[in-house]
Amino acid sequence: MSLLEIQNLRARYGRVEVLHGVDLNVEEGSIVALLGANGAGKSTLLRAICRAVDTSGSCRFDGVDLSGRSTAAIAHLGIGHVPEGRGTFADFTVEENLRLGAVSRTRARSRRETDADLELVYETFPVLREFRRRQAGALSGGQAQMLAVARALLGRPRLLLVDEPSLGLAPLTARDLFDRFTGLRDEWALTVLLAEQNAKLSLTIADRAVLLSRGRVVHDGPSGDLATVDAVHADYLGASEFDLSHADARTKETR
Amino acid sequence: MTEFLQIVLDGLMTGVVYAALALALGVVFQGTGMLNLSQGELAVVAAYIAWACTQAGIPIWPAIAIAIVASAVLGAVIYHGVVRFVPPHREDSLMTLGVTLLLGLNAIVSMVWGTDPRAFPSPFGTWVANFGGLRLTSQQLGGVALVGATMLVMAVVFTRTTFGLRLRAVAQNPRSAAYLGLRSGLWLSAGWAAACAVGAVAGIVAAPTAGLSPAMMTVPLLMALAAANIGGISSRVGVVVGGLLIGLLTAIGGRYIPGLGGDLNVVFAFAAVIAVILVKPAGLFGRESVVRA
Amino acid sequence: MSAQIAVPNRSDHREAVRPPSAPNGGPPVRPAAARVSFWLGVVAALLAAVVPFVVSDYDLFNLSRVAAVAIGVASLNLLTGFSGQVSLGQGAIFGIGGYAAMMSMRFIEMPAWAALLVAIAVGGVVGLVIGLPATRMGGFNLGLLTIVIAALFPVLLYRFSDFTGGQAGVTLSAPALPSPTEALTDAQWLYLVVLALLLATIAFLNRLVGRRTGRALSLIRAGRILAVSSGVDTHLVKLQLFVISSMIAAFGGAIFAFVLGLVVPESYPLIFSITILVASVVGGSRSWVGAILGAALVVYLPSITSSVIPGEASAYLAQLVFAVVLGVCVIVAPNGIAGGIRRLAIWMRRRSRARRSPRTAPTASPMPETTPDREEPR
Repeated sequence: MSLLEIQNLRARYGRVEVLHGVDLNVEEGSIVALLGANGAGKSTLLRAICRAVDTSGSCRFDGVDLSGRSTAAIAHLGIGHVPEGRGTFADFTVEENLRLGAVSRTRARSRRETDADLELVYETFPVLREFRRRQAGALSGGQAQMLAVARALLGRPRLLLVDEPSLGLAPLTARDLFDRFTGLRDEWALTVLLAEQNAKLSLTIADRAVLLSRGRVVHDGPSGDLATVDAVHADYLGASEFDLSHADARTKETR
Repeated sequence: MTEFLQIVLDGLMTGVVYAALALALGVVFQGTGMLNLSQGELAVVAAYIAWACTQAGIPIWPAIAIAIVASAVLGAVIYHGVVRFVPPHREDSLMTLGVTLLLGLNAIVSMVWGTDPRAFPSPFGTWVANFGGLRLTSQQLGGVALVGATMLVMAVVFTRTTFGLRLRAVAQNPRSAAYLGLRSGLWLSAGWAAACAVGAVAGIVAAPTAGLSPAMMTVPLLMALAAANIGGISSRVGVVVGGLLIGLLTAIGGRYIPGLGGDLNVVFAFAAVIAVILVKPAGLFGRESVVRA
Repeated sequence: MSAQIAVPNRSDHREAVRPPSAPNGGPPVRPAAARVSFWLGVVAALLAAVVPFVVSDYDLFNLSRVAAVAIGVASLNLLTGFSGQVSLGQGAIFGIGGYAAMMSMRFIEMPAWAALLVAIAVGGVVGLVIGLPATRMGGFNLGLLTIVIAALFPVLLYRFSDFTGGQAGVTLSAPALPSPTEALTDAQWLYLVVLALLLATIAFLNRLVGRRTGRALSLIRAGRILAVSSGVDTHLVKLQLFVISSMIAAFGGAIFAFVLGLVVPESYPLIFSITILVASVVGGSRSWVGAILGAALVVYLPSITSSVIPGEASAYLAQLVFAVVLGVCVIVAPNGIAGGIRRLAIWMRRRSRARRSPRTAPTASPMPETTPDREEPR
């Protein structure tokens, strides 16, 4: 049984359907890259898993049906979501942000355990320790992205959904962040579903790659495969960086 | 000089009611983006509940406690029953909803308790203290102490506890908070409850001097709106300072500017608001949100 | 009165100005549908014109009140419905218009038409004085300032009672608009005049929001930044609208005073201003018919409730009913009764079309503002 089983998942914004029946399985302990151009439905798929958009279809996490549950309840099941634009609380300090991450622990854990995890996070991201009294809004893009990931980790999730982590980061910073995901998966016993436009970067760390186009899965296989399928690459990956003609006009909501 | 000091003192004493009401407005606004025009009427309801309890033979302090708790529950119920159905970005609908609650609560209070003013016993006794020519009534001192204590409790809850942290998180970014597992509905009703409890204190402190009537809090509400604007509605410290400032300004203006005083003090308060906002649109303490691009 | 709103003349960019998914002017009206509603309107107007010859003078008095209040509500619709600004002081401006007209007739012995012009002018000045700071400050400040005006207006009337007549108000010794012919009673004549003025006001407002101004307004509702980037001076447009709205409110208030034959402070408490807002929202703030429906509610509801409960409580029962209806409208039917009817009509049309061709994609006319776009996870 896969950790996450998605069947015929549809999602809509108002009257516009953005996902038209997506099937996807995510195996425990893997890193799955979700690739596609702007407007392909990557972010929407992650939001649909958390029921943060109008969603229909089946979605099971560890055998538990997610339909009819609230976003908050799904977080409590052990799904961490690092939203696009990071969603950190700008007015709060770094440490306050991190402590808020501990809300959704699957089992009520003692404060000492939270503190231990906090220590662990600080070891992984020393820069956060350095700035732990600083307001999150005053962090740089890369630091804020680390904070967002670290905050999700404090919830001790089994599945981590990461939405466009490289957005707005310098190439080297993005590279540095991506290199950490493999380590995080092993240390924190994570499964990672990574929505990303930067295909090259994600394929270096992903076990499997899923290609979305206009709300449908058009390719699903080991990440090595995708890098060699030239036609696919040219059509969906190479093109995505320059040609946005088939991208939806939908402007992404950023809060 | 003594007279001036007396006016300053009286102004500040009146200001604490505005400050408490403005704090309630601020907490609701931060949580739900709603300028709750019914906050004054909610305070009236609280005062009437306390009064009804004393009429039923309950001593004044337990009656006040009951009123505060009942107000908190009422706040949570209003959020859960009505407010959460209005999309948070529809400013006009939220404003209209505030008006709806104002109309409804005013009608209910008027139907249940009538519109004739009633005497509300001061929980602080009726003695007067003299300090070198300045006189302070027990009601004034007690009111300041009660509001002050309430605000202290709120400050500690908001900034020092996990409860406060989570409440603020939901207020600041409900979507992010939901991803972290915070049920925003629950926390926003908690915010409403806290705000209404603070508002209840304002109503109870105001009632003995103002006389209990359905329209008792109309002027204080307007003053509190002015206070929230002057101090910056996004800052809890700001609204409190704004309330004291409005109390002070209107007391001084009412005494020294001919033609002002009474209900017209509201004009003065709002002239001050316009002056402040033209200089500093977010209010004196209003923070422009710190976001590094 | 100037109907020109400052909108850059860029007709070649007309399409670009229209935001793709913004809550703009509602469903595009089909020519056929427009013709139907036009003829419906004509029939209704004719019916309304026949009414004075079949009902009592008292009923006519009430209907005249409805028409006068409807002008006030329509003026608020211009603000709330078409530019998203909530004013809580429309009732006060309505009252200012009434006082301006009555006082100029009583004390300067002006003719009624001149008094109406005075009311409009005074309304415009008041609108400018309130609107200038309020529209600059943005956000909820308009609501804030206007509620202060609404709360203060009756207080000021009492305070300056030498000037305003205080509690007793201002009365006229003879009807403001006496019937010019033997064929019509004063009440019948007054009703017909008020009806004509209401229709003229609505025609004017409809023209105002229909053209370029309307497009500028939909941009403002869609968001200030979008409007600014499309070359619309939002402050100026909002201020102009607020002034025009105040002028019309004062005009309506003057007519209302003529209908009543007097103005007293107790007609214009804070609650009255709020009631006007209720009428606007409940009737449907984006519909002129809605303004009339809302006004009818304001006029008739108190007499209905007083038949249920006698005495003072009936007024509060009416107020409670207002509150409940308003709450229901805000949550369930943001476009009020008129919007609800329109939505029902569109739904039925779509259904009948769907029955004829079952596989048609649901791409019927968009009704953006009726879709509550809540993506907030709760």
